[in-house]
Parts: sequence; structure tokens; C-alpha cells
Amino acid sequence: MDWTSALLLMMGLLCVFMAMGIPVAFAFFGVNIVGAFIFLGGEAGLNQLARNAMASITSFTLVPISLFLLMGEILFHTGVAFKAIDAIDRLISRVPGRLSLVALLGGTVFASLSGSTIANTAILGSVLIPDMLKRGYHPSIAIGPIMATGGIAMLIPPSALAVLLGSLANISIATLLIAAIIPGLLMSVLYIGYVVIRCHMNPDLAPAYDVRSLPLWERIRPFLIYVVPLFAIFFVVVGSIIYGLATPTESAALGCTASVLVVALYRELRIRDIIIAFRETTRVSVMILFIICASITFSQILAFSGATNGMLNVVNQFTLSPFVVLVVMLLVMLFLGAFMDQVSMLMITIPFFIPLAKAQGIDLPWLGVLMLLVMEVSFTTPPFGLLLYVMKGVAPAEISIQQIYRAALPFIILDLIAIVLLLFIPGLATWLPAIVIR
Amino acid sequence: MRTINRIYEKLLVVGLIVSASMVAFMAVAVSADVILRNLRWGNLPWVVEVSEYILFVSTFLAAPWVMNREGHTRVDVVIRLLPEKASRVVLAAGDVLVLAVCLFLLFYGIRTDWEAFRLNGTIYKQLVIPEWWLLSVIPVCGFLLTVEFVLRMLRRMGLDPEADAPGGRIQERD
Repeated sequence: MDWTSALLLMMGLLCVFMAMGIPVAFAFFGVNIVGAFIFLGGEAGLNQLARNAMASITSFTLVPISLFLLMGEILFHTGVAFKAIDAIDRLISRVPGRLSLVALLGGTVFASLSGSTIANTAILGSVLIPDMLKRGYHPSIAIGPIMATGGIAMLIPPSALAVLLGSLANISIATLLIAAIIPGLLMSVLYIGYVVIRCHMNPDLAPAYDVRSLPLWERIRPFLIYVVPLFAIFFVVVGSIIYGLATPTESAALGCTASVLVVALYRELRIRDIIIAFRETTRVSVMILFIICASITFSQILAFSGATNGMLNVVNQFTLSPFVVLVVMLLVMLFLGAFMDQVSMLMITIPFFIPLAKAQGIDLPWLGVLMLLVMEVSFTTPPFGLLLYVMKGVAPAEISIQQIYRAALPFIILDLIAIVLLLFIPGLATWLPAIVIR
Repeated sequence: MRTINRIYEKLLVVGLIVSASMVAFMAVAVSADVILRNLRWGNLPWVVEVSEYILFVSTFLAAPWVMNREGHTRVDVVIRLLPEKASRVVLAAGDVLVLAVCLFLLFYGIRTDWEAFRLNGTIYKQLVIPEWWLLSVIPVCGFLLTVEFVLRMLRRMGLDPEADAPGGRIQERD
């Protein structure tokens, strides 16, 4: 079979299976069965599938996926995260869109403690949205910032998706984790600037209200008690990588230990909460790992059938500049992101993008951060953006999904601005790893 | 049918508990290894290898529980656009395809595991362990997933009194 037929068969079947609503992992498994039979030698290929399933996820570099998620779930279910929001809430006063800023700052803090965008959005949404709506905040300025900042969790370390991308694309995970810090903070700054300017221009969006007047120390004290110590967890994770004390995988385990210690110091360590944290971690990490298990074989079959090379040769024939190739790759991801989840996007694009980027001489950590940014956008792009539905789940019933779509729009534009900035200023991603990684 | 459902639910929960416990062990063991190494008190050389196996085993043991709780992500954009009757037909057809994949995992899982056992396949790394120990989770996962999808089909056909049990439908999001 020639490579175009192989590509059409594999990608076509995958699209059909996914469109039928088959769980993504099973869609990949289904295509693999057909692909292995045709391209890997019939019965022998099928026998190989089971062994491939084992080989694909017995990898130490994938361990942080579970552990980074666990960190966030521990802080979420023990209630420590909620106290931190309360502390940030007390710290901020008399600014336009006050509660939206609390959400953005809280979200950025949690992004440095959790690898789970879902947990972050759920925490902030459940705590802040009822209060925002009660105080007359327009849904667009109440909901939008929470979804946007929830997505930053996958940029600022610890980030489970960065680990997955680094591991599959063979990009240094430590470099990728550190490289995503500045773009993550940049996005947070863009969101804050937007909220302040928008609420300043149109105060009706977030009506000012009397914040209980507290002495300065009373406002700072909860922040020092409930937020500042949490940064210890961030420094354990990032610091141990930077100072060469631990690999990214080991830093994830240290982060979990640090999270449990911090929770214990707050006397919030309850067995029931920890069990729930493990249950939720298992739910998300198994979903991701099961997809990886199936899709790695998919990539191998694509390569073996000649489809990957054939596709690359076609792209190379166009003699496009690396920059144009990069932009096209990002546009493809943006398109896919409107319809599928981030793990599936990665699994479909990596087999083509990484060899293509290598052939074009594109800096892989830079590409990795750009891919993470695009995936961050896809969390909130209708109709499938995962955080849109997480928000629907935690917001009051009167908020319609259409209102949530509209609330996401300005922040999607801000995300695109950040992507363009990173495209033209690669140093935003490459500068920090170059100076801190030993 | 109720008894089968109950036993099945219990097996799923056992898979979840074993899986989550292994992840907890992994977090503790990896942390202990780093701390011991940096304090120059030695190290735990088996940690990397055991963590890799845990990742595989815990994923396959808990995957049926995740499926039962509708935790495996799916792209349901097209399904939502279809009329209700058509979406039911497409979902039912999807279930048949997934059942075929589960039966494949069960059948070829048993076959591969048996081959590894028969040929005394062994993994030589820091630890020396029979390959069939690890491979055995694939047929276990395949079996539980097969039961899941058979029960779903029975529910669709109205043959299961516990029709409201989890699974068998795409949960409404909006």
C-alpha cells in the first residue's frame, strides 16, 4: 500500500471512530488493530500490540503526569487552596474588577502548585463565581478570567502536559518546564491588564462594593500564613531541578511530599481528603496514560507504513521557510483544539510535527512552549474546550454555555497575542532555561 | 443481573484501590530515593524500574473503573449535532466497536501472557522478573472492559434492571 493510502486509512479511521463518540484511547486501539494487521505482518503484528502497550508507558519520564496532578488534588481536597484564595481576597482592595483580579492572582499562584487545569478552574469557579454574580459582576468578567487562568496551570510548572510533550517529543523536560514559566506569567499579566482596563472603562461590568476595611497587617497576615508557605512547594519542584538535586520525575515526587507536609503543618491532613485526592488523580492520569498507551503504537505504525516520511517529503517539496512551517503547525493545532482534547491533539500531531521541526531546524523547546500555548488556548475554544464544561459544571445553573463561550473570547484573543509575541521573540521561552539549567 | 453488577462494581473498586495505592507508594519511594541520595545515605536502585511498572500496571487496573465512571475522554461534537435517534444508533455502533477492542485486549492479552509464561520470558534490569507477571494485567483489563460494554449493551436493550447505573451514555454537559 502506498503512503497516501496508508495515511488516509489510518487518519480516516481515527477521525471516523472519534466522530462516533468512541473514547479516544479506544479509537486509537481500534485503528492500531487494523493498522498492525495490514502494516506489521498480520497475526504477528497483532501479537506485538499487547507488548507495545506495555513498552509505551513503562517509562520513568511519564511518572510526573500522575504526581503533578496529585500535588494539585491534595491542596484542593484538603481545603488549603480555598484558604489561599481567601487570603488573596483580603489582600486586594479598591481596584477595578477586584474579584476578577483575585481569580487571576489566585489562579497564577495555583498554577505554580498544581499540574491540573481542571482542579484550578474548579477551585476558583466554585469559590468566586457565586460571590461575583451576587455582587453584580457581568458573567463575561466573572467567568472569563477564571477559565483563562485555569489554563495557565499547564504552562507554569508543575505541568503534566509539559511532561507528556517533553517525553513524547524527546525534548528535555527540565528545559520545557522552565521555558514555559515566562510565557505563563506573561499571559497572566495580559489577563490582569485586560481586566483592569476593561473594568476601568466600563465600571458596570464589575460594580465597586465596600470591602470590609481592615488594618494593613490584618490584610497581609493571611497572605503570609496561607499563600507564602505554598511557594515552598514550587521551589521544591523547580529548585530541585535547577540545582540538579533531582530529575523532573523526582521533583514531582518531592512536590507531592512537600504538599502533604504543608497540608499537615496547616493541620488539614485528613485521610478521607487524601483518599479523594488519590481517586481523582487516578481518574485523570489513567485517562491520559491509557491514551498514550494506544497512541504511541499508532505513531509507530504510521512511521512503519511510510506515511510519516511521505508527508514530510511533501512538506519539504514546498520549500517553505521554517517560520511558515511553524505557523502552519500552530494553525493546525488551533484547528484541532476546537474539537479535541489536548492529549489527543498531541498524539496526532507529534508524529508529524517533531520530525518536521527537526528537518527545518526549528528549536524544539521553543516549539514545545508554543505548542503548550496553543493547547492552553484550546482549553477554552468552543465547542469542545474542556474548561468551558468544567466551568459549566461549577457555575450557577442560570449561566448558559453560550455565556461561557462569550466570556472566553477576549481571553482567547489575549492568548493569541501571547503566541504572536512568542513567535517573534523566542527569547521569552529560551532565555530562562539558558541561564538557570546547569 | 444485580449480582453480576455488584460483583463487577466491587472488582472495579478493587482495581482502583490497588492502582491508587501503587501511585502513593511510587510517590513515597521516589521521594525517599532522592532524599537518601542527596544526603549521601545510599539510594534505592529499584525505584526507577518499579515506578515504570507501577505506571503500566496501575493504568490497566484502573482503566475499567475510569471507563465505568465515563472518565475516558471522547470527542462528542458530531454526536451532539445528530438527532437523538441517530445519535443513539451511532453510540450503539461505537459500543460494538469498543467491545471488539476489549475482546481483542482480552484474547491477545491472554495469548501474549501465555506465550511469555510458556517461553519463560524474563525482564532483566535492576530486578529480574517474569514478563508474564506484568503482561497479566492486560487480559484482566480486557475482561473487565468487556463486562462493562456487555452490561452497557444490555442496558441499551433494556435488559438490565439497573439501567441508571453509571456508564452507557455520554453525560450531559450543558
